[in-house]
Amino acid sequence: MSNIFKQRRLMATWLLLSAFFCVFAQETDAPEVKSSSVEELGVREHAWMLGGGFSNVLDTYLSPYIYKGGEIRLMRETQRLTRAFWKEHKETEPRVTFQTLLDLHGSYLESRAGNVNGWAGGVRYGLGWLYRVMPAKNVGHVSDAWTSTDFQRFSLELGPMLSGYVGAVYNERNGNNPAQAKLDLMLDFSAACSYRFRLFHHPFALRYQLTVPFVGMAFSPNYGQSYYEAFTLGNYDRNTVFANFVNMPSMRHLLTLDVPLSRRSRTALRVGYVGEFMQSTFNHINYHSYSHCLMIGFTQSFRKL
Amino acid sequence: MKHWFYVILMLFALSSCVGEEYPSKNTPTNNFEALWQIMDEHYCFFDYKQQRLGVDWNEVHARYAAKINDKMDNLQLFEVLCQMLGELKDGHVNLGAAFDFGRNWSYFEDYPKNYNADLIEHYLGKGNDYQIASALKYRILDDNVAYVRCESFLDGIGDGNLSVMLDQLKSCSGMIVDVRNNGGGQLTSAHRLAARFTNEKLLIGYVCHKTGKGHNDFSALEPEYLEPNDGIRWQKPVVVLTNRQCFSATNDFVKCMKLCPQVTVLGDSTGGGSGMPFTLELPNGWSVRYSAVVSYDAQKQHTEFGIAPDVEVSLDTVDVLKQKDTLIEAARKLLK
Repeated sequence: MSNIFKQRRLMATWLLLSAFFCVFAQETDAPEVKSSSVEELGVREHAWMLGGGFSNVLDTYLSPYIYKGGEIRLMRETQRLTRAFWKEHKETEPRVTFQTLLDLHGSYLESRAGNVNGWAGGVRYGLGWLYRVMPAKNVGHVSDAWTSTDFQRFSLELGPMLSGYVGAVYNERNGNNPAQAKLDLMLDFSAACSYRFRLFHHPFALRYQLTVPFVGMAFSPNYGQSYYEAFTLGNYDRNTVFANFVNMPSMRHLLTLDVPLSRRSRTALRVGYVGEFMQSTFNHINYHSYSHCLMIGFTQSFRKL
Repeated sequence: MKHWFYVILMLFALSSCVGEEYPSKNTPTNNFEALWQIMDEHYCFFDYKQQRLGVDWNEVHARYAAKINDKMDNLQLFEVLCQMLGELKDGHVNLGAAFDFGRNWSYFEDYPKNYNADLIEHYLGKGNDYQIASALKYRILDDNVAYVRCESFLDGIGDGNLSVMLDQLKSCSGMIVDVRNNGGGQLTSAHRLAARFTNEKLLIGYVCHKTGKGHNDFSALEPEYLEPNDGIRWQKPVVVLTNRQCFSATNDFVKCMKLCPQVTVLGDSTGGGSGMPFTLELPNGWSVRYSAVVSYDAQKQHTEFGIAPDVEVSLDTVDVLKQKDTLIEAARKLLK
């Protein structure tokens, strides 16, 4: 029980922080200057991050108890402004950022008693369309703040994300239920806010993105169904599940800090934190995967020729 | 308005953590409760075991809870938990610890063995008298009957193995498939072997699984078929030799073979074990194996307690002294 309380406390802290951050961002009296991560049409920002941390996995199809272990994670993110959903306002600046997120992770787990090991891993790919709620005007790169003190501090973006996940959890001991496949295709809601600041005359960009799966489809075996029945015999039994924020109450946090390397370069060092709290209850099978990873990488801006 | 959105989101997430449902602290009482609950919610034969054995799982809890206290050591706890699981008389129900493997093997321990390994070696011969194709040992006996010994389905039996073996034995007048003491293994291997003895697609039974935690929460019965193999198929008489140690996948193999034409099952009843086992664990790390998926025969009857042979034959001790296997000799007579 204490673990559940700890998990709830952790989630509460995260949600309070995210709610505070987003609400605070909305209430800021933003000056009429630039601020976003992508500067103009035709410019694409790429980021790569590699990191490590730990994860906590429960899948009651494999074990009633949680497994914990180390995790490695690789992320690639791209962002660019797009006129998609904004074509009727050609006279105004585009306010929709198209974001792609590729997230690979793998973890080596150990049972509570320490006598069994397991593996978990997968890849998620997401396509997001984030509408910049504020500021109204378009922005420049974080490195613009080298030369200007007149830059936008806060920005807030909201929008849908279409994401798909393919993964698996494997238990080294089990016989006929050794692994569990994880597949989902979800429509998520995403909110991102960024804060730019200068410290010791050096520009920094802090960005936080919260993504919450809303509705979609997922794969799950039925409660006591074997994979032999599902795949060898082809006996379908509610294996495609309607997933939503009630039976899959999950969220993904991405916090990054970009530090431009020089005045002329469009490359910035990126450090970050990824917090993933994926949960589901499908066909009476409970699953969660909580992971925390510290990331490091870089981000670059490219102009499309 | 957006403030409310985040507040609602926060409340929603707080109320919906997906966590462990069973007692998690490693104490004898919690291990007992976790084991009882795992079985209560996952085991698939409670109704059948109540009909056949009079097992009332709630009554079992009351009876064994009185034997549990937090001062017990691991050996004492293991013994009591194994006794509790033994009430189900299921060879697929096991408790696994580093120091022991809890089991109920009454399905064969309480019956005559009808098996003598030395005799089988005598029939197979020595050196290159017999051939080996994966898990199958085979030779042609002096009356032109093929003798195929299948000790286990744990190793995969490939279609290539079977085609070569059947080609080698094609001149024989009949075949003995000896699966005595075969404790099972891969269901796909068992079906791959059986698929060589039918020319038609056969309805071999039905399967279902649990869909919830209640004792009666089951999916609809789904038919299971045996498709004839596209390669070489055996067209002559076959005798399958069985005893009480034919269990699990071997029980299923016998179920299939009984439906194939020209097949006679000879020996003793099989040991049963018609539930496909899953594995979970206790807070102390001990593994719990239990029957999870129910397999019925083509008449929708359980085969959990075994399949009766067509011809009942027991191993005669006088024959043993003469280095004769009564079952093999009976099969040879039948094939003449």
